[in-house]
Amino acid sequence: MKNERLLSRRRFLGEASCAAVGSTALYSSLLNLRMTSTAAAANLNPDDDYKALVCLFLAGGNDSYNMLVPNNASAYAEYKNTRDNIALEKTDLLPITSNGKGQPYSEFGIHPGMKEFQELYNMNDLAFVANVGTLVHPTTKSDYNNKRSLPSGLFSHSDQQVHWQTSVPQVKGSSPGGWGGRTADLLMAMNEDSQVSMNISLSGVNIFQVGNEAFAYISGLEGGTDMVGYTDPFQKAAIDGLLEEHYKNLFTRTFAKNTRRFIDSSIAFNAAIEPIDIFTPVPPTQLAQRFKMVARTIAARKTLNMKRQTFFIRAGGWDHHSEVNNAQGLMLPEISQAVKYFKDALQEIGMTDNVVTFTASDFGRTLTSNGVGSDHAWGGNHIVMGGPVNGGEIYGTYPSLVLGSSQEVGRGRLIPTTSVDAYSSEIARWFGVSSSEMDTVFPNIRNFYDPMITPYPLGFLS
Amino acid sequence: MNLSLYPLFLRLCTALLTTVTIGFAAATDDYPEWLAKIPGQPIGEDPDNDGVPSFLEYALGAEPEAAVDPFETGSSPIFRREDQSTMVLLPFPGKRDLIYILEGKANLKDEEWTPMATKLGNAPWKAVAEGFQIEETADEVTLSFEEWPNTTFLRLRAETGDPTLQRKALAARFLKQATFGPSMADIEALAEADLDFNSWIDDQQAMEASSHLAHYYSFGLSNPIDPRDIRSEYVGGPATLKITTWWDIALLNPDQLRQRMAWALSQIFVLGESGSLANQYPIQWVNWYDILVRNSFGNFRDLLQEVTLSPKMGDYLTYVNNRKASGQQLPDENYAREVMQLFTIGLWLLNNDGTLKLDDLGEPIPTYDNDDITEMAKVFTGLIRQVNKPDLYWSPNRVDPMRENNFQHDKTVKVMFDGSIIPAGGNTIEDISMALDVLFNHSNTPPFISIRLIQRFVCSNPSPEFVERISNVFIDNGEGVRGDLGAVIKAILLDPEARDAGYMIEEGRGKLREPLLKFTQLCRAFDLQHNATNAHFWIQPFDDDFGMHPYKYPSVFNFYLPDYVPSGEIQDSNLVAPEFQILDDSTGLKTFRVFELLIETGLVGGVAGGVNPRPTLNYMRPGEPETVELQLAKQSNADALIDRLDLLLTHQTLGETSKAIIVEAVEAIPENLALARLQRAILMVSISPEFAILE
Repeated sequence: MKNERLLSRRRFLGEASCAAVGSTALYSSLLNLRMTSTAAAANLNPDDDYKALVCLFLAGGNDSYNMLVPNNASAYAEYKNTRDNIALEKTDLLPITSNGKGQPYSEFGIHPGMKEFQELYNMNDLAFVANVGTLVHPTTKSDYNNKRSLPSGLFSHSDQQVHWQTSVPQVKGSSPGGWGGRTADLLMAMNEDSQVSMNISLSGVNIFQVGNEAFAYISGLEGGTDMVGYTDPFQKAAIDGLLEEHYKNLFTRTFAKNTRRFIDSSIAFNAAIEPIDIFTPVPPTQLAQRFKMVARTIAARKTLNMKRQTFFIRAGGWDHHSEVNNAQGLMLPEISQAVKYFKDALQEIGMTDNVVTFTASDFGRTLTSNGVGSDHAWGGNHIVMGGPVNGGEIYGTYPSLVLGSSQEVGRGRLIPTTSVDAYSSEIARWFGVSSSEMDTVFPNIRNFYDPMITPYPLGFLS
Repeated sequence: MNLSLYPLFLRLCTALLTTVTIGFAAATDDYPEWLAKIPGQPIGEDPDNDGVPSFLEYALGAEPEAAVDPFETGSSPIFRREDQSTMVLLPFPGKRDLIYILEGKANLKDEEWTPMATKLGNAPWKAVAEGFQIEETADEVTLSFEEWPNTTFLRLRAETGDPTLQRKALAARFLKQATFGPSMADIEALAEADLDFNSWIDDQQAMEASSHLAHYYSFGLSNPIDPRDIRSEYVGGPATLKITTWWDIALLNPDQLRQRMAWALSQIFVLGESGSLANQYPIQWVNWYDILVRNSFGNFRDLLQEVTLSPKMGDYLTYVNNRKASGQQLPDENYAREVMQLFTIGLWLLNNDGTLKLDDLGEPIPTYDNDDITEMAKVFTGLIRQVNKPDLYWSPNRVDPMRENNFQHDKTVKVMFDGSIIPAGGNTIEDISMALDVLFNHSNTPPFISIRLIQRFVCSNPSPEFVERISNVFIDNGEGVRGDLGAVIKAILLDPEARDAGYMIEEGRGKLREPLLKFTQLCRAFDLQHNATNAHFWIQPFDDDFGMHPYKYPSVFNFYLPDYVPSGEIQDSNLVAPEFQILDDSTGLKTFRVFELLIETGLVGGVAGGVNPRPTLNYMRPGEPETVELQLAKQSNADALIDRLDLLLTHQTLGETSKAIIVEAVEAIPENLALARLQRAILMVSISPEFAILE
């Protein structure tokens, strides 16, 4: 089942660490990682303040060409012609204007259920990035037809979800870890003395936040879970003894080690967030509740000893092979309201300028209809939101929606014009990954641009 | 287990040890029995003072007389060097009640001995260390190794306990693999049947299947098809009836292997509430699940056909009412993709042993590309639901197999991913059957399905040889039949890699158990029952606590992926561990909260109307005979209690340290609080890492 040619995780550590990989590989690489991490931390201004990333993953493949729609007369006509019975009515669109950098026209429309997005866009707090997707190299139609350097498992949920998170789409599976995890490997030394992971997930285990050392701490809507039996000193002593790592079997040892970590993190995390509340009224959705927990955690950053944090929220149910219009009509407003709520909550705790929220999703969907919905495709549209974002603009290149265009490879599947690497690396750069470390986090990055020359390739952050 | 451990140190560079050839005939395989046959009144562990304790003489195959004969010691290992390799000759067949472990280390100051080869009873030797070669003939075995310059000391260790106890431990281990968890009676019955696993499986396979639909009807609903007609006491609404059915059958019914197989198949042919329609109509769901139950020991090809024609699957993967291309509207590709990727052949070409086939550049080879999916999507057009039968199933009809509407079917020629042709003009089900034949007969399907089933029952990382042995049974059950799932599951459970306890000492062996199966084991070990007249389990859903639950699959990709790799040591060892995908800060601790509730107070659930008979374990039920566990909990020394739980729950894998820790915690409670002691003992064992892992 294993591919011997899988990139070694340690490849991401770069030359210095590779040299150390030998008979005591694990220990050496951890040691080197600590050195890298400390070095990275030393590069930063010691007064550098708090920053957080929030990844909102729309699992299932959001049909994002109905989230951001051409509103220019002729482009809309092309849209309508291609999307047929799943096209939105032009009169229903919420109009926004692009300032024309890179887009062929300036009139766009947002899905009618997303009026908060329109508001945030017009307040320059939110930007769109058009036609983003997994790529190994910049890819043309001829590359696609000749299967040159394509991501593995194109159009498949499991593969593309993984690739969005690893940003190493030529490698099948989760073995490279996530780019959030690799970023945390580099920056976790900034959170000195913290007992809780730098990466916090509101939606369970994910690949995005897993690195060589980094992992995700999982929080529920009310924080972490308390360990049973811990209030009784004899039971506590027994549990502590059972979880010591003396087991010979690898699975047994890993189970003990993980459980130990869950207990310690839970104690530290709950103590920190317990006294904090957010007063901004929260929309009655689970998604908004999750954003509330993120805001509480950010507010507890000093107790938790955090300078850098990543958060992961998964909102599922976007695989709309059928009922795409009805389902999106119910689901996109939830997204819009929750993102707006989060913005207001950050304002309440005075952290607007310290947090960037961005979307990810398996893929965009076929522009053509299967009669009642749309199928798996490739490039799609995304949002970035927050004080640091140069909002009120559409970045990347919004593609032609005409079937047979130079980006279209059948059924309205669009080759991405912006890679996940370019999109994500810009966010990572803002977060604190230096240009020289960019290859470590994004091993394909030089296929798209030279991070030493262009720190912000798209420009939605700066 | 009370280990008798007599290490025999062997210095490689020294001369041969004394060897005595003895006959193996009429040897007993029961140490206490052998001891009883020693002539005279032997004193001490080495009555003949020959330096070889009686236990070791027994282990090395000597007759009882040798225990008092200083010139006989059994059949000692022999060392010799030939060229660069060192050979160890072990000319004895092995006692069935012992485990032999050959260990080495560089110098006597090292703390750790490294296991190099193991042997369970009279089963063949098995190499553990790399670079070890084993050749076995009828009367001797040669273990040879090269490039072990650091290993200058070897020892042969033999371990046993009470042989009956050891047989029980092996029975418990098997039953943890093959059922939702054994009771002590189940364990004892299988041990007394001389661990005849083969017959146990035959009996299970011959048993009548528990139909979930039939069970659902037994609720006695006045109108079972109408979800609005639910008697007020069915708490939680109609959606829970299918889950109550699942619990009732898994926890109480005798056809355990079949139900475990259906549960495993439900994690391959995934159909979950999330993303489905009509969750409140249990009758549709139990009908779906019965497809898996019915075909658990049947043919994979029949199962594939039934799954494909299921109207529930048609909804879930959106191919019911799928139409041929019309203008720019093309057929839905959802099922075309998933039936290949998840139900049969997977994304990459596989060898028969489950490893990836590689091209000339060493790259894996995709099984199909997107054009193949578009082509396959044409096949799955033209399926519609059967006519409504509102008096039977409510409506629409999501029970009976879908039928064809050939006007909606794409009748053009279809070129399959492997180049085979489905000719133009065929009808819907004709074309679908041909396409499913192609998938069924593809060389990927046997290893693809074998790996997934092995991972559910035995271990996360089967060797390629194990996979290949099972693939071969999938290909041919011995009677020329391909796809015989009954033969496949039997081969999995009887495979040396599943049965040979020698594998238990390998570091990367075994698997993290599904939290749901840990839970069902506790329920069945202590006979979870209502103490009121209601015979059904109304148990609150645990998906949030366990990260898994019947019918609550998060997506068609199941609760976890078969190749999930947790970071850390498992990843560094290049191993996979699917179940670790749902072990996180939240489920990791919440699972223990459910155990605590079960063990200490009984489960939340219950029936409306004033009474609240929580499902409780046997030691909590007043008016019933006192359980053995509760009696043991009254003894001031908790050793016997923990030993019993170690057999019942952890098939004697609880380490000595763990046992001592738990004993101490239990003995901290006064003896007169026996129930509290027992509850603490069970809770601590249920938290122990040994309980979480199936070695």
